Order: sequence, then structure tokens, then C-alpha cells
Amino acid sequence: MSLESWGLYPPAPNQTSVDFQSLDQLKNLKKFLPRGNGRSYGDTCLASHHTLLSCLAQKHYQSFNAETGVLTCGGGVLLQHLLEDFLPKGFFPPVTPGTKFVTVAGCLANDIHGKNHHHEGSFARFVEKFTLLRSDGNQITCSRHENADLFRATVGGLGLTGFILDVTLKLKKISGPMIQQEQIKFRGLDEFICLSEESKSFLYTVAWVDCFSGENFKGIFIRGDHATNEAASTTPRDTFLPRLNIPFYFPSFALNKFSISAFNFLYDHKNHRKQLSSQTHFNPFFYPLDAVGSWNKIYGKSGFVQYQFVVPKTPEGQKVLKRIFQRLAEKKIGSFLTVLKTFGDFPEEGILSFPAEGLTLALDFKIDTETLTELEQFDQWILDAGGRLYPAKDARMSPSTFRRSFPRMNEWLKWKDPQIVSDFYHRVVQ
Amino acid sequence: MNIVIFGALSGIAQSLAEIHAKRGDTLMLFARDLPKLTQLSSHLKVLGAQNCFVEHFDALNTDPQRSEAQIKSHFSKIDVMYFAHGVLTPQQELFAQPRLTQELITVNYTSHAILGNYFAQTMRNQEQGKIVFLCSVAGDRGKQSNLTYSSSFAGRNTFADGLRHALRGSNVKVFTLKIGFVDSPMTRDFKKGFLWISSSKAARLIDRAVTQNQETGYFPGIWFWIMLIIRNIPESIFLRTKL
Repeated sequence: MSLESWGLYPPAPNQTSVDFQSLDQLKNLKKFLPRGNGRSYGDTCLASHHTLLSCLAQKHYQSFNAETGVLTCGGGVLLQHLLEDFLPKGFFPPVTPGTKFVTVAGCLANDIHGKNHHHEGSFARFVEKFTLLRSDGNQITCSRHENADLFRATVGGLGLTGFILDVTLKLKKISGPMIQQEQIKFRGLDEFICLSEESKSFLYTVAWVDCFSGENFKGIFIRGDHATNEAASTTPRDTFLPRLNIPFYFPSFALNKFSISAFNFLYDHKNHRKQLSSQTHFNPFFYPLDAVGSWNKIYGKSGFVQYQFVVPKTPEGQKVLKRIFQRLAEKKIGSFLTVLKTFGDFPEEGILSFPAEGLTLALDFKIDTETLTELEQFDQWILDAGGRLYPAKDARMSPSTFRRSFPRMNEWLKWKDPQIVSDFYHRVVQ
Repeated sequence: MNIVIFGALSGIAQSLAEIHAKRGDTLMLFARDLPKLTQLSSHLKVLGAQNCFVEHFDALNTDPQRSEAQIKSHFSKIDVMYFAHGVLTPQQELFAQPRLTQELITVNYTSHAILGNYFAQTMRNQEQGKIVFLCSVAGDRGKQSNLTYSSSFAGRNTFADGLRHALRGSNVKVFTLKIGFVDSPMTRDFKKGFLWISSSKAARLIDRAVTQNQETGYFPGIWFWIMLIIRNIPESIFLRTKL
């Protein structure tokens, strides 16, 4: 098993990984970090010189109510398995990120969001309770009514409050695997905001943006809903495993402004018309990159950083977004996948939950010093506008950026498990 | 269908149980760790098992009469039985501790022969059913790296072949399914190469063979060719290899 993070950066020497099997194991571990499937981009899933306590063996379902959709399962269950096992019963993960190769415990510990945030909020909103194992051997049931403080510290708590043994969550009832989607080309932030407003009734919305197109950027707005007709649901594509695998690291020059421009051109021109309506399977809709195994290797051995932030929809927030797009175009800083979305007005479920009402942008960059310096500048603009950065994807934010992103950090620290550490924690929190 | 699995907590057996659960079969699982077995049982019921019963079973003290009584208290007709239990003790430890050799052979061979001989009668009496021995390519030729393990499987493979012969004409099928390298808890510490498959993949191959009544074979099929070569390497050359 690979012990890198998905961004392959930063490096983390001397880690060992063990599957969690029993309580007794904890007695022999000094410092450790609970880990799921290692799909976090940055260093929240790394613990140099310490033990990674994998939850992947906790992959059993415990109970399921087919009336309500409430499922209790081990923290190591992957969304991939939920899809395989519950889609035939007519249920879907309530919130899903851009890959299905993540654990339920990981979804909780990062309080992940998906294309439905504007409509339904983050993952934790669908979590009824979970069992947390602390390093002192205590097993604690946490819900909004029982140990509510620990519940709120663990949601988005980056695995640092304990080992999540099992999770009880409510799956979404759907009628089939197909998604009815519309794709609309747009230009600039104002048009994006207009489209977001008029698409509020759609369950899923997201936009792809050409990072080189400047302040008045080009993009494709994608909105969709679960299709209701049964006829189309016979497409035999329910097991959507990688058909293509990246077998080796690409040389680091493979992704450059020319290849990214070429990709952007092709992506932009794949739709001839301004508006396209079609029905698609949920796999390409939610998980286009899952079709390519180890796609992170195209960034080369030195890896990449993801950069995701949210700013309020205020004039200041909008100004920051425009400035960032302008800067990316000026400096020709290429981001392969640039994704823009609106977050809905839902109170944060966890003390360190990332999603907040506003506009969120996700970018990815190859590691180089010029880009990293530029990102420092972006951090300041974002924080000044009242925004915050996403720790789950981070490999570079400064301690002060973290504190300003999450002003209630001290309240959270009270619940941190003393034996649990991560490289992110050492770098940013302490 | 009514499915019985001995050694139900092995990686492959769990995946097999999942396949049957999703079909709505009724399962009876035997293994040593009862708490873990109970956990697995809830899992299988969520997946769709009609029902799932569990009983403690220790291959070092195989008692087929007791096991049969436990099965018969839940259902009378057995459709498929899997014998999946096994241990893989490193050969170095076996050189050092004689007791471990006895345990390995008891679990990997003796227990299978006891269950096979006993349930052959049960299956013959009900005039139908399938007995599936999860066998291994390791049993095809003795080699220094795991000679005791290999020889215990040579015994299991041969026993299964013989039982099939003995039950010929009885409408009871006996399967000798030789499986290659499988990534499972048993092989956690092994270095994995391109020949390795996941336990769920192995289970799918086994299930297909059982469904299609393919009573012998290598899984995946490439092992037929690999073992054909390995079996035919002259001894003088074989002794010089590090296999």
C-alpha cells in the first residue's frame, strides 16, 4: 500500500501502516494517525515517523433500514462499495466528493461536500451518530444529542480526535443510476452567479473553468438531477473501475501551459452548442477521474498541490475571485482542473468544517516556488475578504492562515486526542 | 440456496459469502472467532442474505457430527459447502517448532479430509449438492520456500480429486479449485506482483466455476500454464532455483 498522499506532496518519511484490528493494538502504539484510503491531497493523511492506523479493515455493514435509508457501517467502507451494494436497492450516498475511492470515516473527518452543497449541505448533515475510539481505550458514541461537543470536534476534525469505528448515516433514495444533466457555456463571474441562482432547484451544480481566460473567464456550467425514468437505468456500467491506468510518473514537464491550454480548448469545444441537455450515468457525472487509475502520476514525481478556498458572495469576495483569475492568466499559472461552485447557506456542522455560504474555487498546481509564493498572496486576499482555505486539500498554508480560517481552533483543540498527530497538525496547528 | 462455509473469515470466504448474500441465499458460517463471525453475519444480512447463522469451529478439533447437527438445526438440505480454512505459517518457524507443523497439517489437510469423508455421506443421502475445496497451486510441486504448506495442499488437492471419483454417479459434485496468489489477510506481509489478484476477484472466479459445474481448474487460468511449466522443470534444474 502506498503511504503517500494523493498529491504526492509533501514527502513523509518513516511511516508504517497497520490495519486496525482490536483495542489492544492502541496500547502498543505511541503516536499514530487514523487513515482511510489516503485520498487527501495534502498532509492531513500523513504522519512522518509515526504509525498510520488504517481503517480499511472496518468495512462491514452493521444494519440497514430499507424504509428510512439509515445505514450503520464500519468507518472503512468505501463509497465505491456503498454504490455497488446500495444502488441496486435504490439508495445513493447523500453527499459525494469527486472520487468514490474514499472511506465513510474520511468523509466524516473532512466533512466533505459535493455538487449538492447549495441544496443539501455537507456530509455531516446526513450523519446521525458515530462511534469514536480514543487512544485511552474509551469508545464514545457521538451524536448531536450525546457527546455533542466531541461530535462537532470530530466532524471535519481531520482524524485528530480519535479513530472513527463506525458511522450511522442516511442514504438518499433515488430511482436509478442515471443523471439528467444540462451543460451551459458561460463567461465571467456575473454570468456564473446568475446561472447558480436560476439553477437552485437542481440538486447538483458545478462549473468547469478555463484558468487561462482571465477575469472574464470562460466556463461550462453543469447542473443535474437524478433521472426519474427507469428505462435508461439498464446501462450496465455500475462497476466503473479504472479501464486505463497511469503505470508510471509522467516527466514533470508533461503538464505545462501548452498542454493545459490544449486541454482547456478541447474541453471548451467538446460542446458545440451553448446549451446541451443529456442523460448520463452517475459515474462519468460524479467521478470522471476515477476512470483513470493513478491519475495523480501525470503531475510527475514531485507531485502537486490542490488549492481550494471559499469566499463570501459579497462584492469583496467576488473581487477576490476575479483578481485570482486575472493573476492566473497574467502569470500563466496553469491549473489542470479548475472547478467553481456555490455553497449553500448551511451552518457548519463541525468546528473545523470547511464549507460556508459563498463561492468556492478548487485549483491544482504543479509544485514550483513561483506558484507557492503566488498562493501566499492569494491567501491574504481570501482571508481579508472573510474566506477560508480547505485543510483536507492543503499542503502549504501557514499556521496564521489556518487560525484565521478557523477562528474557533482553540475550542477544537480541547477535544484533540493527545496521542494522535499528523504532518498537517505539526505544520499548521502546533 | 443454502450455503455452508467452513473457515468463513478467510479473505476469499468472506467475499464468497458476500456474493451469496447478494443473491439472497441462506448462509451457515463456521470459524474460530465468534465475535468477528457475528459481525460478518450482520454485514451479510444487510447485503441481502435471507438469513445467516454462525457457529464456532476450530479446525484443530474438527467434529463433523456436531457441525452437521448445527447445520441441520437451521436447514435440512445443503446446496453448496465450501471448505476454505487454512493457515500459512512461515517455513522458518516450522523448522524451529514441531508443534506448528502438526497444526498446519491438521488445519490444511486433516480437517478437510475429516469433513470431506463425513459430509460425502450427508450429500450422498440428500442425492445432490456441491462440495468445494479451495485448493492451491502450491500443492502442485514441493518447493523450499513453503514446503510444508505445499505438501499439505498436495494432500488436500489429491483428497478432493479422490472424493470426486468416489461420488461419481451420485449427483454430488466435488470441486478441486486451485487458486493462485491472492491478496488477503493471510498474505498481508507478502510482496505483491502482477500475478496477484484480490480476494473478491478470486471469489468471483470460484463462484463462476461452481455455478458452471467446472469441477477442476486453475484460477486465474494463467496458472494452468505456469504450473505446467513448473511441474515439468527437471528436478536437477528445479533444485537450483529459489522458488
